[in-house]
Order: sequence, then structure tokens, then C-alpha cells
Amino acid sequence: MTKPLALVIEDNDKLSQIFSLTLQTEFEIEAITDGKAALKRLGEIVPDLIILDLHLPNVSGHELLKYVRADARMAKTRVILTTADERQSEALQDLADIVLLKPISPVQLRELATRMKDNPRA
Amino acid sequence: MNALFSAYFVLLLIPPLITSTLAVYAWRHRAVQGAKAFTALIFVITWWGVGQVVLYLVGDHITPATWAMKFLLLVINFLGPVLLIFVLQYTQRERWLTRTLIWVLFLPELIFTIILFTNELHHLYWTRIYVDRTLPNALVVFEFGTINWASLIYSYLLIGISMALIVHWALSNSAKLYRQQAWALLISVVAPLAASVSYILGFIKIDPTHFAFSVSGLALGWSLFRFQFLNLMSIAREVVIEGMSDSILVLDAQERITDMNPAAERLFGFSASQAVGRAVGDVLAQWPHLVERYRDTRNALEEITVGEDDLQDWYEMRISQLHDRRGQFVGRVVVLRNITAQKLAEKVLAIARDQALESSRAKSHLLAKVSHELRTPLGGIVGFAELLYDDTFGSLGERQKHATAQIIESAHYLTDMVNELLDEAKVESNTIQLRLSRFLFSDMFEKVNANMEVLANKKGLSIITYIALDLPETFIGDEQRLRQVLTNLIGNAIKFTDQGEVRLNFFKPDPEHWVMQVGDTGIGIPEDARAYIFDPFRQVDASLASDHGGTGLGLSIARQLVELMGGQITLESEVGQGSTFTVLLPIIENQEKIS
Repeated sequence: MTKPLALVIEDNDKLSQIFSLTLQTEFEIEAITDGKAALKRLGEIVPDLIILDLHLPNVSGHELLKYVRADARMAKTRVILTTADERQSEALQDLADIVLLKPISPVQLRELATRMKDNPRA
Repeated sequence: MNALFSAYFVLLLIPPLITSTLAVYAWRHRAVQGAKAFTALIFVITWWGVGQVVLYLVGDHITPATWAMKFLLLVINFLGPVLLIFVLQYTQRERWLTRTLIWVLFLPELIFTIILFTNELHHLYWTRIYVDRTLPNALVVFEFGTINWASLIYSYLLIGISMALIVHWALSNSAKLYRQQAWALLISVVAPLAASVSYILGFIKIDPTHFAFSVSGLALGWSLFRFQFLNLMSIAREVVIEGMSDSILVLDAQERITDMNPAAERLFGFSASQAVGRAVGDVLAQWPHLVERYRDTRNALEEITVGEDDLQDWYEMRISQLHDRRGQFVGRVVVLRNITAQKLAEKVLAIARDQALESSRAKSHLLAKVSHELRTPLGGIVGFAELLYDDTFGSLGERQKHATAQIIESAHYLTDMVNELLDEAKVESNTIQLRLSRFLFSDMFEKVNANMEVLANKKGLSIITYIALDLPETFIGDEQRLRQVLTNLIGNAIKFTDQGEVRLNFFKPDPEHWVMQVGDTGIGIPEDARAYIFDPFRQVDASLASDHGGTGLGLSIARQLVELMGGQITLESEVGQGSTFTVLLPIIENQEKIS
């Protein structure tokens, strides 16, 4: 059985590395640091989970989130939104499955992601 | 000269003595409106009395008696016009008193008087002058000619009109008159009338008219000074208007200045005598736009500015319209109060307030920005440390593991601090918005308790919880913020308690409120510290902060959140015994009610 696909979209490479390391035992990982590249890639693949940063170069996380939610192919895709901006996080709570305020604990992230893997979006 | 005549002489002296005293009094009070006309009137009556005395002293010498009579009539011929003018003023009909009318009133008597002084040429005034020894008072008799009769009739006509005006005025103002004033007016009218009638009908042999006029003068004077013009109100008003620093302008319906007070004279640089009668545009030539703008404004209360920039003056301007008795618009009163100093003070205050707000906003903004910037590197620290601890990078020995745990703990502490700083910033800049929803009390409490029990257990403390049976299962409120308050209070209790327990009480003291109470058996808070314990960045003392950690923001945020929720937080404490924080919150029945 192949592992589910997690797309990590995070422009800070340290955090990107942490998220990838955190999830690698449970997920197949693909990491992208640029918003525009992420948008292009989302047209080609259907991830099971997206770790999405709000602050991204070129295309914002907000735009990407709207795109994911509008695309029927990704109806079952779970999105964990990560942000350092509390106000933004409050505003986007309804679109994302979960919003995590940075700093993010890998232990917590792994637990949430694993739970989501077992319960895809209805 | 017998006794009867001496008595008569004394009697003759009384009226001029009284009326001359009254004349002096009236002249002293000539500032009172109407008093000048009254002085003239009383002067005429006094002249009459003095003339009678002179005539008496002259006795039966025809030539001096003739001259005495001429000088007597020179003045008392004008009694009619003077009385009428006074009565017009007294009865508040001054507006009838045009220059033309005054001339018309005086002219006939002037002509009659000229004829009197030239009587020797034509004998139109007196036809014959002779001595009659059968009369007791005036031995010299002047036989009336046509002009004397005309003069007399004309005088009586004017006197009659005056009396009628007084009666009419008294009747139409009866509600406003004092009883004594009404009597005085009645006497002033009846006395000359009765005297004349008695003399004409032959009841009395001596002409008592000038006695009667003395009585009238007294009555009118009494009425004038006691009840009308000496009215304190009008004097006080005059003093106030003259003395006040507000400028007052009175304009007639044609926009001409009819009066102005000294303050207005200073403001406009015109004396009242220069300005009165001129168009307002001429007097306010420096302020043409104001004259134009308010030309048709009959009532206003506005703030206006004059001058430019630094020399700008502010005035509060009140315009009120004036009406005559028939409700006809007759003019306007403009009152200008200089409020420049007040305006400048307001301006300075506003600037200070804006600066304070701006600096508070800037501080909040900075705090928010710093917190935000700290989150990303913190993510790196927490992330790598936790992965390290989890053996992601190979298994760690005991000491490495312990060191990594220290990094994680410090990073978590730093994270808490960032969160609290951000909250404080939001509370201070009033940007926290409560998000109300209905929540289960048990859910809210469990989430807090789960975390807190771990903390308490670490220090060997127990948490004892009491939840009242009648506490509602659900509440409407901001669940997240309530959790934050409770977490802060319990965290605080644990932090400052080394042995014993932390007690939690949840109950409903009355139907409108519920209470969260957190008590501990810790070090307690000294009385002087209770005043500032809720201030941001304050702890009981600095050494405690290093022992126990914390930013000193927890209680400040808790209090501000509770107040935002419409509740209040109170503290009871005894040093060495422990502290109890009580949060009293309103029970919100209906969500719409609050939003």
C-alpha cells in the first residue's frame, strides 16, 4: 500500500524541512517553496494533505486555499494552514481544516496529520 | 396781612418745596429711562408753584405782577406738551415720539407764548389787567383774551389726552401693575381733574390746579421710581450689558445699528455714538463676509472665525430676533463672545490626545510586529528540538535528551510570552473582538483542566474542583477567551503555590451572574501589591519573577478580558495563607442582546 501524498508549501526552508521530517513516516512528501509553482503543481496532482503557509512569494496561501477549495478533484484533500499572523488565522478558520499558529510543534502536527489521514474529508 | 393769609402763604410754599425735591431726585436718576421727561414735567410744576409764591408776594402792584405772570406762563404754558411726552414714555409708547410730533406739540404754545410777551401791542392774550380787592389770593386779575383761552384749551386737551393714555395703559396692563401703583396712577389722573372741576363749578374760590398738579407729580414720581424705572431688573440689566465682555449689537430691520455696548465699541473700533444709525456693513467693514452671510439670519448660535491663520479669533455668535408688541419683526440682537482661548486650549488638548492615541497605536503595532517576527524563528527552534528529542536525527543519550528537553521548555516559555505580549497589545489597542457562541461549560473546563493538571502534578499539587449543581450546562460567551482567563488564573495559582492545593469553584451567586473562583494555598499577595497586581508587566517583586518566570502580563490580560466580557475580577489574599481570585461574569441569555 502506497503512502498518502502530503504537499508541504512553505517558503522558509527550515520550517519546510521540519514539516517534511515530521510527516515523512506517514506520508509521501513533496515540498514547494513558491506560491506560483505550488499553483501549477496543484493542477497536476491531488494531495491527500496540504501543509500550507499563508505568506508565500508570488501567490499567497489564501489564493491557493481558495483554489483548492474550488477544485472538485481535491474535494477530499485536507488542508492544515500555518501562519505567524493571528488575525489572518482567525479569518481563515472556515476554509482550512485546521489553522495552526506558529511556532508549530512537530509532535502536535504529526498527531493531527495522522488523525486526518484516517478520516478524509467527507 | 392777617393770619388767614399767612397760613395761605405757608400752604403756597409746600408744593414747590416738595416738587423741587422730587425734581432733584429725578435729575439724579436721569439715567433711568423716562426720568428726563419726568424731570422736565416736575420742573414745570415746581415753576408753577414758585410763580404762585412770587405772585402772592407781589400783591397788588400791577406791573411786577404782570411780569411775574408772564414768566410763570413762559414755562407752565408748556405743561401740556411736557406731560404728554412724559406719559408717552411712561406708557411705553416712545416710538410715537418722533421729532416732528414733538415740534407739533410745542409749536402752538410757542406761538401763544410769543403773543403773551407782546400782549401790550394787541391785547390778544389779556384784554384787561386790574386789581380786584375782593379776591383773597391774587389781587391782580388778568382777564382772558382769545389766545389765553386757546392756550388753556390746548393745554387741557393735551392733559386730557395724557390722562386718557394713563387710564388706557393702566387698564390694559392691570395684570402687571402693583396695587399701589394703580392707586398712584388713579390719583395722578383724578387730582387735577377734580381740582379743575371744583374751581370751575365754584366750590373753591382759589384756583387749586397747581396744587393738584403737585399731587399728580408726586403720584407719578412715586409710581415711576418705585415701580417702573427704578425697577432693579432694568438697572441690573443695564449694568450687566454695559460691563459684560461679550459684544452686543442691536440692529434694526434695515440693518442699521441702533445700539451697542462698550465691549462692541472696543471690538469694532467705533464708539456707540459714531456707530448708531449707520449700516452694519460700514461698522463691520473688516468682516464683510460675515455681514453678507448672516444678513437674513434671524436666529442662530454658531461659532465663527475672523482673521487669518495665527491671528485668527474665534467667536461664539448668537443672533436673536426682536419683535414689537404686535409680533412684527423690528430687528436683531447680535451677541459675540470671544472663545479664542477656549478654542486654542481645545486644539492643544486634541493634539495631545491624538499624539497619545498615535503612540499607543504605534506601541501596539510594534508589539504585534515583533511577536509576529518571533514566531518563525521560534518555529525553527521548537521544530528541530522536538524532532531531535524524538530521535529523528538518530537516538540521543540521556544527557543530550535532557538538554534538548530544556531547549523545548525554553522555547515553549518564549512562545507563551509572545502570545501574551500580543494579547496585551491587542487589549491595549482595543482590537480584541469577543466571538460569542453557545458552548458547553464542561468542554471549556475540561480543555483547561487537562493542561493544568499536568502542571499541578509536576509540582505535587492537587486541583480540587467544585461545580455547583445549579450551574448552567451551557453559556454564551467567547469560549477561547474564557479558557485563556481560567488558564492564566490557574497557572498563576500553581506557579505561586509550593504545597497544598488549588481550589476551583464554579457557581451561580444570583440568576444574572456566574462565578469562576480560583483559590490557592500559596505565598499570598501583600496588601500594597493588590493595587497594582492587575497592571501590565507587574509582579509582586522582581525576584519572584526570576524564581517563577512569567511576563507579568497574565493577570493584566485576564482582567482586561473579563472587563471586556462585562464582568469583574476581584482578589482576596493573605500573605502566607494563599490568594483567591473571583471572576464574576454576566449570564448572557440572548446572543443578539450583546451584539
